[in-house]
Amino acid sequence: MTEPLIRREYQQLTLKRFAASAVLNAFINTAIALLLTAIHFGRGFFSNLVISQFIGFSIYGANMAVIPLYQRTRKPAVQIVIIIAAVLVGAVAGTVLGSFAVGTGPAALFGEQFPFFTQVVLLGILFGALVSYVFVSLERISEERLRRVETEKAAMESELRLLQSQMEPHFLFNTLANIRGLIDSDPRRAGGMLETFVAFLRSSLRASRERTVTLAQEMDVVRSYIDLFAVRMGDRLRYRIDLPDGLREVRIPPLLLQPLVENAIKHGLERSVRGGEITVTCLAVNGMVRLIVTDSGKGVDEQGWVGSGMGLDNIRKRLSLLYGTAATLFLEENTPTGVKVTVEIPAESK
Amino acid sequence: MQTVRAIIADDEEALRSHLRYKLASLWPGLEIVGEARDGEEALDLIRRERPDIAFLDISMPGMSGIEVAKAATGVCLFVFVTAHDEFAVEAFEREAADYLLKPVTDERLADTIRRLKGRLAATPAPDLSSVLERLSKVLTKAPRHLQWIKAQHKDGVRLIAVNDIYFFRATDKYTTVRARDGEFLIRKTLKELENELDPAQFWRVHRAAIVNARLIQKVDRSLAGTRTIRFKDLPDNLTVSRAYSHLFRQM
Repeated sequence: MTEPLIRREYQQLTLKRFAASAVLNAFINTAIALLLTAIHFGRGFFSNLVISQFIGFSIYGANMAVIPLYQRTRKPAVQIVIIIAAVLVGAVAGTVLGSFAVGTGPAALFGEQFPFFTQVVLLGILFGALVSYVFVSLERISEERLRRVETEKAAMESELRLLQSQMEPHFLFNTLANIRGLIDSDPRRAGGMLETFVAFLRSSLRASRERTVTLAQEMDVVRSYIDLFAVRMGDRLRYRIDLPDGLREVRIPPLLLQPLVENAIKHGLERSVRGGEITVTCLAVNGMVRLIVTDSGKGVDEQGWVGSGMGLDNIRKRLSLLYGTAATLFLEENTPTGVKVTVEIPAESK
Repeated sequence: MQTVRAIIADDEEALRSHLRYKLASLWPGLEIVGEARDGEEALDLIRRERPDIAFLDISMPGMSGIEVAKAATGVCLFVFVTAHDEFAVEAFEREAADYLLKPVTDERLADTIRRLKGRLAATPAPDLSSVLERLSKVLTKAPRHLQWIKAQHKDGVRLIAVNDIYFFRATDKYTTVRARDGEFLIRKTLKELENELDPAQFWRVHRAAIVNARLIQKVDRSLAGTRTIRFKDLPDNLTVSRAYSHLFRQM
């Protein structure tokens, strides 16, 4: 459905650009004629103007004609050859046509006036090549801008995906199903769970819009997330969050810990019949912030879930974009059971 | 009229009680003879009570609802309960095994009850095996290949995702693992690793080296014909021995 729309837009765009470039071309031709008249070349301004316009538009036309050819190849050398050929043909054709227009016959052109003819052709080639070069470069720049826009779009999309992955449907519907269930049997708890859910939505939505959040804010997301599971899993889920007061205002990338806690619940505790405990610990170590998430769940099965698929890759990528090699993330076996994830990032506070 | 007996299995208490409550109001003749909090409990309960119907949550700790139904095929009718149609349950005929989406609505539950009553009256019970087979295929997307390497490091055991490993190199008695976070030593031999890793991703390129093909940036070829593998963001490179150079001939 959207495709024809986009195509029409494209056509309008090129038509507009086509008209603009034709006007620009006429201007440049006039300027060249003025310049040549000023240095007393040729036979007066009028003759120079006519020939200049003919040459300019011939080269322009030849360039337009070879665009499909030009676009078919990606090799710069071939592209240059195509443009040079177009300029050559355009310059010769323009000179011949122009001399007709100002009343010089072809016989004279290739007879006594041959030196003049070659001069005009050479000038045509010189200016034609110059102008073509500028046009092509401008085209390149706009392509580059397009690429940059696309890169930005990709970054935005991945951000959106981040938000979506965190609001994965299974989690969403399970939470709603629990609230629905509690409405009949335990309305007070249903109300409490709904409030926790709202708190989680609010804090994670806010976090997803920011470039950085404070550790205290991130812990709000984490706490409400775990609380939702605590209602669902009952006594199978216990947790402890340890955030020293001195670190509350330290800024970290948003939603850094939440996916780690999600992994701990999903892969560690939820699948375990006995459940277990989750701890989140924040420490300051030599100008770095160390964040540790542990679970006492089933631990990693060597053939088990794919480690890079579960948000860890995303976190790693974000860390390396933000901090280069200064940030680290690694997994260890927790003692006596479960997984321990450590993230270390440079301490930043605003 | 003979009472119909059923069990409910779900790891979440609120969801069990909600279903029990709904069933009580929509199907007064149904007796809930037991509830289970995980797969094993559900299977024990089914074997002990031999109910007419089992309402099974699909994702439970231990055994999944599908696994329970597989193990207890023929004992009773099954209704699968799931929060999200990630298991593509909708694709399966509701005739063989019904399913409910959480939160369970009155309308849908009444529809399911009608089907269950019809099926209890009919004999014999429908054949579930093909449906279960398809369902468990959807469920067990779990990879068969090695996904994690456990390496002793300082006083802990590091867990390294194989996707983060550039290559494995045989060194004396051990194998060196070159990962994003550094080098680790493990006891597993290259031969063992070769058997356990996904062969589509991990290639033997030398008598003493296995490489993660996904992290290769480029392969250079010298005038003498030796191929060298280079990685992104890593100064180390690997030489491909002649016996394995055919792997890169097309590159």
